Amino acid sequence: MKNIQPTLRILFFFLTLIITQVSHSQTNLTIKGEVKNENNETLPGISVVVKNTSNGQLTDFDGYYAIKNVKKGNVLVFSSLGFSTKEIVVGNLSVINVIMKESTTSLDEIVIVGYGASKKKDLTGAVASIQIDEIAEQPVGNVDQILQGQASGISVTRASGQPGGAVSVRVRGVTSITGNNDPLYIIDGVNVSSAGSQSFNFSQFGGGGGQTQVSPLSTLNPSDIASIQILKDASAAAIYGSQASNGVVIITTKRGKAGVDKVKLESYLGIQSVPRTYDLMNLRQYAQYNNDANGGVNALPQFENPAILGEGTDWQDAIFRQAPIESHQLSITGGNDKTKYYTSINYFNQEGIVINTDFRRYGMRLNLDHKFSDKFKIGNNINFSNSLENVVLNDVANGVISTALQQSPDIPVRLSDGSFGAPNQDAGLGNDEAVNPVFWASIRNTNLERYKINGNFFLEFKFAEGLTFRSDMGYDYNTTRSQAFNPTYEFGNNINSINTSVKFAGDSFFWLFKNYLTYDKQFEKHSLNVLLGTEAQESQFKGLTGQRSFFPSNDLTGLNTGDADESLASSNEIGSSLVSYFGRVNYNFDSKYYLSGSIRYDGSSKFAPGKRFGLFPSVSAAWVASNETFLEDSDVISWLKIRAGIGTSGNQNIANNLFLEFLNNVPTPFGSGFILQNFANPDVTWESLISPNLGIELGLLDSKILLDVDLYHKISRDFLAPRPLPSIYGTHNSQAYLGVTPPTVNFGEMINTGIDISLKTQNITKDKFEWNTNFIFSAYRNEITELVNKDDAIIGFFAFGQPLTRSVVGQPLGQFYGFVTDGLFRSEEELNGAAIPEENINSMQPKFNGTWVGDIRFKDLDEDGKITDNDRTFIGSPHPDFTYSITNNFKLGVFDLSIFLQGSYGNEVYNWTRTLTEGMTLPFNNQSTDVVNRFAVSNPNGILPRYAPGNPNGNNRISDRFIEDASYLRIQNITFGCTLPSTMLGKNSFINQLRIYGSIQNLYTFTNYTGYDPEVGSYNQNAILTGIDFGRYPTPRTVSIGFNVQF
Amino acid sequence: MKSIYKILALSLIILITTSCSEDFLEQPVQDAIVTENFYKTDDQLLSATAVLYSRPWFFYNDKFRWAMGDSYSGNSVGSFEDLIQFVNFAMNPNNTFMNEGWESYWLVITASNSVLTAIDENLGDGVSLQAKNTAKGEALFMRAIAYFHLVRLWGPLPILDNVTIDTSSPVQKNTVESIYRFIREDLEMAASILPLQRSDKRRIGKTAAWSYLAKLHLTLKEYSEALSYSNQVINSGIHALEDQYQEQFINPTFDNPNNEAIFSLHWFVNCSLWGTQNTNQAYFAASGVLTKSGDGWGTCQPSIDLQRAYETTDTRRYWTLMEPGSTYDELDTANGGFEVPSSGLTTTIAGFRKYIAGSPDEYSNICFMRTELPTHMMRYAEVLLIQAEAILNGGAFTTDSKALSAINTVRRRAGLPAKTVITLDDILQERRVELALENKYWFDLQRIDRAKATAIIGNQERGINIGNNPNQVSSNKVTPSESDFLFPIPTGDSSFISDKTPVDFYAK
Repeated sequence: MKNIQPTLRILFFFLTLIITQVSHSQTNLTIKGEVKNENNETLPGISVVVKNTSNGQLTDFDGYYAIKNVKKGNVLVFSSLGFSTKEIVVGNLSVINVIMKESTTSLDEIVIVGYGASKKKDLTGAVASIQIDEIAEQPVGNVDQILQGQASGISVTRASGQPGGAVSVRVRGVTSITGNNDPLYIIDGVNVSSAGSQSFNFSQFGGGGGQTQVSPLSTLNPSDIASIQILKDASAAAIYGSQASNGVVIITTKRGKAGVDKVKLESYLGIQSVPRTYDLMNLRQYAQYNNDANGGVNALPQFENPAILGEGTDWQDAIFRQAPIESHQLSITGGNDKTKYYTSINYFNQEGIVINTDFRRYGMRLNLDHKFSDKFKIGNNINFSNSLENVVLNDVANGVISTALQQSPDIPVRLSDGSFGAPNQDAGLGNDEAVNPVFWASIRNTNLERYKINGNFFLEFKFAEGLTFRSDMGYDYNTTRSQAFNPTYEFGNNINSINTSVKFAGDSFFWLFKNYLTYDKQFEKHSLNVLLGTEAQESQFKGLTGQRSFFPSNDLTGLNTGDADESLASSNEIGSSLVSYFGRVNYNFDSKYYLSGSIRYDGSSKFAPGKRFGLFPSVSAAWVASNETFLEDSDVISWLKIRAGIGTSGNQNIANNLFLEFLNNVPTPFGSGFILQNFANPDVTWESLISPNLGIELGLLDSKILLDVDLYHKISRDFLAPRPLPSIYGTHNSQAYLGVTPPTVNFGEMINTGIDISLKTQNITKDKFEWNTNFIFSAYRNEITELVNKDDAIIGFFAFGQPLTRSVVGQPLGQFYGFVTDGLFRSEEELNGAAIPEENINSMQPKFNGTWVGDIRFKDLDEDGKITDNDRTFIGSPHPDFTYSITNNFKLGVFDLSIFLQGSYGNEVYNWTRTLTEGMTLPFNNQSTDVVNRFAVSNPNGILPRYAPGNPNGNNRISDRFIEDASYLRIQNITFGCTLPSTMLGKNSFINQLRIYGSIQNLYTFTNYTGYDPEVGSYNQNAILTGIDFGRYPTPRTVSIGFNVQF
Repeated sequence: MKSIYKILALSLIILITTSCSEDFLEQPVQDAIVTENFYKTDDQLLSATAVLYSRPWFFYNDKFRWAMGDSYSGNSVGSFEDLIQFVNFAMNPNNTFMNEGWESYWLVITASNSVLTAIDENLGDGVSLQAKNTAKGEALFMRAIAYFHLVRLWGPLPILDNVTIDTSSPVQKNTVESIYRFIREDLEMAASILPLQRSDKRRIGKTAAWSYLAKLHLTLKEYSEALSYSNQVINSGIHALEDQYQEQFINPTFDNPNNEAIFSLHWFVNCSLWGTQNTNQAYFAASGVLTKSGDGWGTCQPSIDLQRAYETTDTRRYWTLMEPGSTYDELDTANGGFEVPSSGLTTTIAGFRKYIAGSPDEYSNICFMRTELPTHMMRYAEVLLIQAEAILNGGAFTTDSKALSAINTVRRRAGLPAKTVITLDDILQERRVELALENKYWFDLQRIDRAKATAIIGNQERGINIGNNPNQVSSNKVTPSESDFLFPIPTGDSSFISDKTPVDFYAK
């Protein structure tokens, strides 16, 4: 082996590719040529080998090759990552120029796995890979949205359509009951910090806080991303140990390529709108409703004759708007054999479809690689971004959308003098509590500005053949500023005479330092790859909040101008650290039999001494049957691999210091008071996960059909969650922060069993016409198998402590729990002896304060003759039966068309919004037009229950009345584009390539769901509050046009 | 180049060995107080009992205090869903108001136990005996008051005298008798170690423990003990009635010298902090104009029955209710005072005046759902009425001069003529109007003869006026059943509490 010499190495997407060459052979021809891609760009680094020999080389910097010792009749094999392999028989010509086509099979893809890279075909674990250029033309604002529908086993739901809003990304179902379920995001080897991704909580200005989570990934520019890999199963993710139980998403940014400097400009402009709205009563209908609600005798003077009234105010129309979106990016890549760079600058601006919401981001990036010698290279990645978003209060009763649905149409948006129209309940005008939604949007509004600087410096040193040392110093620095102002105002009876300004500033600094050795060895048919490393990480978060009230005017919000006596300041200072040791061995024999094992040992500051360290091993194996002789010549089966693995991982993304007991500082008239804040648990330790995975990869017809099927059984254990405690220990279950915090304990077990299917087919691959289809299918079944006690239930409280979801052993997580409706009581006879709510049994005036004709009949499930809490049961599940997506890509000459459909089947949504639009408890709330068909003496066949002030029968209680099937199929994206290569732009054109496209996102949704949007994520990322729609910000429909031009 | 290998290899080895250090995993706590480092000085210890006057009682005071004390007893009505259940004796086990009250009492107990544990186990050498006794007395007292409420509202419950948590099996209930003994022993111990003269008059002294011992014995119909403890309070000379009934309920700055208040909850307002303030005015004020803070919802409205309960010349009526024609110069001062509109303020026409401070124009520390009006739990006026009732000694009537003097002292301030003979009904009537909105009337109805209480309640008018017409009533009369005299254990906790026969706490 000693005479084998390494000849060339080319860095390509973090990978060192080594092709070896035996220098002696005896023939006479020398073949030369140039290798280009379809866009007429020269391609360096393409491997050119004489088939069945080791005679070969890589194309040089300008795409040229020259191979000696070639015989006539030999076959030259041109191959490279990302390109279809091309074979050309050597004839009489000594110059063979080749045009390489970009690969359409994904088996040759290089995927980045933890602390290294591998060919997809060599993987033993379940790794999904997304190559970004496939979807780069979609006007997607956030990195997490890119993931939607692109890979099996990944569910991506937008928890809010707010620009920059949170996205629930779940890898293979829900892993943790009450902890964090977001995957670990690694960008170029460095963890992405999620610190500071919360907007202001409006509850301190009164009312609910709504959804305050924003996406931590929205500060990243999606156009910089080259690929995303998702380590789905535990055997692949175990190398990330205690951080990996929710899966790992590895994001790789674009890097420079040697060659001519390329300048690329990418822009798009679009317009967004709300795809659908609620049908609400107009003024005539509302007036009639109001008259009926007032008993039909005490009509307000203005409503005495509803027929003469007009349409009134359409509040949805007043708060929704057509909103522009735009993105511009300039990127430049280039370099030479020694130094390569990728740099970009970008600007993204999205106005929200709800007034006073927007998101704006700009950023720049530099990725630099430099090679001192064949042995030593360094690199530095620097990313800077700034984002600014305006967020309005939503997902709560007094949110902007909810108020627009409730406010009555008899109030103008603005009066003739330009001031806001105001409800005044005393005067019979509208609903005081809903204020004026347009005005409300201007004050229940916060802005959040984030700066992010992240990157890493790395060096790679090759000690000896196959032995490489790499060191990475990564960092992620974020600053967050948020502010909100509650002005003084006077609207009818809605008076606020105290203005308050709140400002928050925080910064977080995360760093990691990792060092690892990789040993690659190939001897005969054995291939060995060994990894050994250490890593240390620390993150610090420091935040300051300041607040004052009593400002002399609403124009001054600087804290200095407020009343010093009413000032308030607080700080958060949190630190955590993690130290890790890890190793991995990959072995394969003859590319047929693969064996891989990894181990990680993590210590975390989150736990008490003695509980800090955890061990996370994994093992996996694969058999490539198609490389066996009996399949080698098969015309049908071109690829068949069977993979199996089992791995463990953990979750330590929880609060710090749960093992200590604290006192809470509470102001009192006597000065600071101190009260027990929490129960400590010194034994608190990791959440853990163990999961076997079985995968089959099948390639048919020269891998034109590629089928990947993965089966998994994911057992997560020891959830870090507050132990359910009765209030007798001083916990407050209704507003938890006012009581003693229960101890965080490790308990329980939950199992997700599922299947991921991905089917990629190349239906037509003619030169002029191509048609590819990509079909993704994911399904999982979730079951809680253990809690502290057998009969325990984890309750998900919503909207001021209402127990909406219930999670118990033997059932999926976070199911809706409530009463079952059974039509209406339509006559007094039906009421006789019927089971009615216990509290109404003695009611003296049932029509006024009890159960009466027109009320909902709830099922008496325990058959005790009355409706009590014991009659509740599971009424719906937010878990889909399956999710799927279908992407069809067509290419005809210079034109391309992409149609992306995406859907979910069998999941239910609790449409809490309808408790407002169909609540019928107040005369002055506007209602859905469906309410016209409510039960009344005059309308005995009405579908909805009667109007009932005070809701005495609990018609709006948590019941299946508001459960809706939220299955949907969405035309998520249609893009039509035209790509003109330089050849068509004229010889002398300075434009190398031009692409123009138009796209429609969220074109249409097929669904029976009655709300704005059936895609409802987790409320503030809380897994037990999934699928609850309470005035959720709808996802917009976006029509855009764009161009990419390359110089 | 060889030397570079060595340097790199060496640095790798150094890295692996140094990062082993556990020190790297020690993250100091920078923004919170760890319990074990606390309770080292008198000030620290007393700051831990200072909080017992507000935060843990927040949810009790927020809605439950008046929903239970006044809506359940027929003094007030309202249309809010959870409140209707109180008005109509239709309590649902997950009624949020009830659940909040329940949670609040147990937080008082846990917070008190945590101080008592710290005094036993974690006290620094620098803490004086006096501070230790004061703090211990306050914690025992608070725990006793919470249990005194709990046992009357829910009956047998577990006695928790330390902060140990155990959910391995449902918690055993203790008998009502042993809970009363537990309360009595806590109060007796508190009475023996608390100071008589309070350095800060807002905090409790011996007289608070005596007053509650009097109330406890009165509730148990142990009249001689009740009389003896009420005499001790009266004879201490520390307390007297305020000249004006109203100031202590409407003026958050009034604490001069606060002779009448024996035990009160003391609140603190910061416009952005929640859980330290008195929220009552947000629900009591029947117009946003009164508070100008975005609240003033009139959630809790005077019942027609309460409005009918006043004797004609009673000056407390004006300061408890707001009725058409009345003007209040001290409210809505920006507009020169507030005049109640002729149509009234609520569905029962009247609104409440008591426990309304006003708007930021009147007092600085008022904002949305926040005032600093203290919540009076025990006033000297009540001690006088306890004394009178103790002298009555369960009899039909009394003409005892001491008893007459006690009740007439209260009546005189209200501008009412003196009584010459008093019955239990007279005392109950006096208690109802004197202590309206102070969470007393339900406990009174609950402790008297059950048939009598049921009859009183069954006759109460809990309805509303139709079309703001004082003469047109949409009547609502509800007769409670025996089971309505105890609340159901809230849904969330019922499975954690054993339904086995309660045991005597002291028998173990």
